[in-house]
Amino acid sequence: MSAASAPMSPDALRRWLIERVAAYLGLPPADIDPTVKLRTYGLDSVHALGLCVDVEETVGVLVEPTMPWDHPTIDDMTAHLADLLPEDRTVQAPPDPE
Amino acid sequence: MTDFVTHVRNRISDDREFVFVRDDGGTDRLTFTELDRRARATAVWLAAHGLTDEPVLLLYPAGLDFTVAFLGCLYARVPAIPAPLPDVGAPHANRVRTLMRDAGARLVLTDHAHASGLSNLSARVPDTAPADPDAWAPPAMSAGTLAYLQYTSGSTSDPRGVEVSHGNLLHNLELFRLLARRPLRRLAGWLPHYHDMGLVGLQLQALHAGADLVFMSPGAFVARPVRWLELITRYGADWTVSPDFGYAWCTRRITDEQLAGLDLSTLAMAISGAEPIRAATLAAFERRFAPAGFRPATWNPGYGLAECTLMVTCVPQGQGVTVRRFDPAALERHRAVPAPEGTPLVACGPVSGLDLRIVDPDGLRPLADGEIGEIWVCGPSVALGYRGRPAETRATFHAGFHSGDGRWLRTGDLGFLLDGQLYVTGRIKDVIIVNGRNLYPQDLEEAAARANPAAGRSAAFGVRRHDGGEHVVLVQEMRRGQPGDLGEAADRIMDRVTREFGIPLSLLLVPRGAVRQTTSGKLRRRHMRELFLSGRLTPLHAELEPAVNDLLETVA
Repeated sequence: MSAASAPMSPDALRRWLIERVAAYLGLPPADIDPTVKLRTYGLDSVHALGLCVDVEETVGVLVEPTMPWDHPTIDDMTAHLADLLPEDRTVQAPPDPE
Repeated sequence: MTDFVTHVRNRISDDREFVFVRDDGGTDRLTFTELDRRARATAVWLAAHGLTDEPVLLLYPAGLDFTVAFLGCLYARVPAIPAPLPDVGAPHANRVRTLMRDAGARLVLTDHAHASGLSNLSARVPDTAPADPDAWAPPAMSAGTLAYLQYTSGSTSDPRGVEVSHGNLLHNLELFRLLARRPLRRLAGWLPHYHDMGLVGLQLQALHAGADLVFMSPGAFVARPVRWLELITRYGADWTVSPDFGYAWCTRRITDEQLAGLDLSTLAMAISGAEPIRAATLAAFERRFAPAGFRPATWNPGYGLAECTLMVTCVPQGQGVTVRRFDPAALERHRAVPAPEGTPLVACGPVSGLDLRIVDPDGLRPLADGEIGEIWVCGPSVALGYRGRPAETRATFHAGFHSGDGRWLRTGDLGFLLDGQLYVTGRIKDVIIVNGRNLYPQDLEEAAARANPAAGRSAAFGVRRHDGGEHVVLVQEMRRGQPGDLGEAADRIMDRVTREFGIPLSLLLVPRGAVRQTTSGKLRRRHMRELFLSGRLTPLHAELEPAVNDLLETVA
């Protein structure tokens, strides 16, 4: 993950989560509605664990492997991660999607 | 040579080793000599506790302690039952007790780290310090001696233990050996040891071949799949095994930076089995990992099941992958009609070392090449039967057209033979396989009932999507006048099943009476599946996964 340092706002976080989830599901990001439960799109436990590892590596916070079931939509997850991030925390922005 | 222990002990050497790469990256290693010494000490402890011929449950994390315990059981003529470590909590402990009751097992063995967590099951850690390995005397064993019990068949409430004998193991592992042109040197993998492919395909294969095994935990693989390919790279492994999902997960997850550090050129054999093999998975993996030296001729697609120890057929080294396309609508009607734009099927290898026939499951008559029917197998790899279940054993393991026809195994899988290779098209047994994991409809239906106790009967079954992946469909009856919104009821059921099993599903809520039973009260899951696929179910409410929606649109 070699991108320029920049704080990740909730909007950036949401966009990044959508990109990641869409990549796992093999769907265009535009098809992912941030208010719809991700299991609706076919997210399984393997994708969920991959997503948790992505969060750990890119956002820099440790999350429970059950996060995608406890916070089942993109909006829920964004709010959860924003809560976990200290307010003044500056994190690396994720690389732009291909 | 008729028993596995004698075979393995002829291969003991200081040059060969088992290497377990821990989740923290550190390694635990045991040479074959040390493995053998510890296994003998364990066998002395087991015999001293009067456990000869008494089944023992092994609840271990991934690692070398399992290998020692399992080998110790084999040395002591104690049938081991490898099972996953249960999560904390009463329902999980009950699950283990159901399994123990079925097997007639009275003892659980585990490692030091898990003994206190499993104290409610009276789990023991073998205290081998005082046991003298040289006091071990091999008990009498022959080809027919029970080696271990493989519990991968049957639901949680109705588990079935496949009885695998020493003769079964030796025969099946010899079939594996014959796949390769040169002797296997080093095996690498991540499959769990309680899975037949992890146990036989990794652990026991390495012991049988006198090859190194380098392995890691399944959890570490799922979290960071690159670590599997790093094992191959670092240790120069020449052989690996995985279900389709493992290869697909690597293709999806591994980054360009990670790819740059990989070298897969040492691999001579990459077996894919334990679940339907997708042509697209093989092609995408080949493309992605060609720069790391992966060669398409490395693939060995195979077909097997625990009831036949592990392997039935597999493509031998160097033969390469055969993919042929068939008309999807005809496949649903059990006919293999070649179609240039049709569903791609991956050939699972020639029949070799076992007898195989394709049988009309209704009329019980043999079918010609190209006709789809149930796969029947006969030969020394076919296991002894299901533990303590004579009726099920007769029905599954003692099929035959007439007396003197031999002891045929009905696999419950559907397929056909074409140009000397086996193609697997589906199954008539109820099991659903997702990410290499066997799911039983009864377990899914029970979870749905817990989410909505007021609802009626339900039926779960699997459908194969266009991309070749399996997907769970649950048809749930709702009582008339049941309070609450249908959408909310659906949401509750889907939340419960998704969380408990970690799988997405499609759900149809139907009126009472729509889930069909036989006159004797057996659920007709296959019939429900046919109704669903042909669009003849009229749901009150439906939540369909996008890929399943596509499937229905094509059929309609």
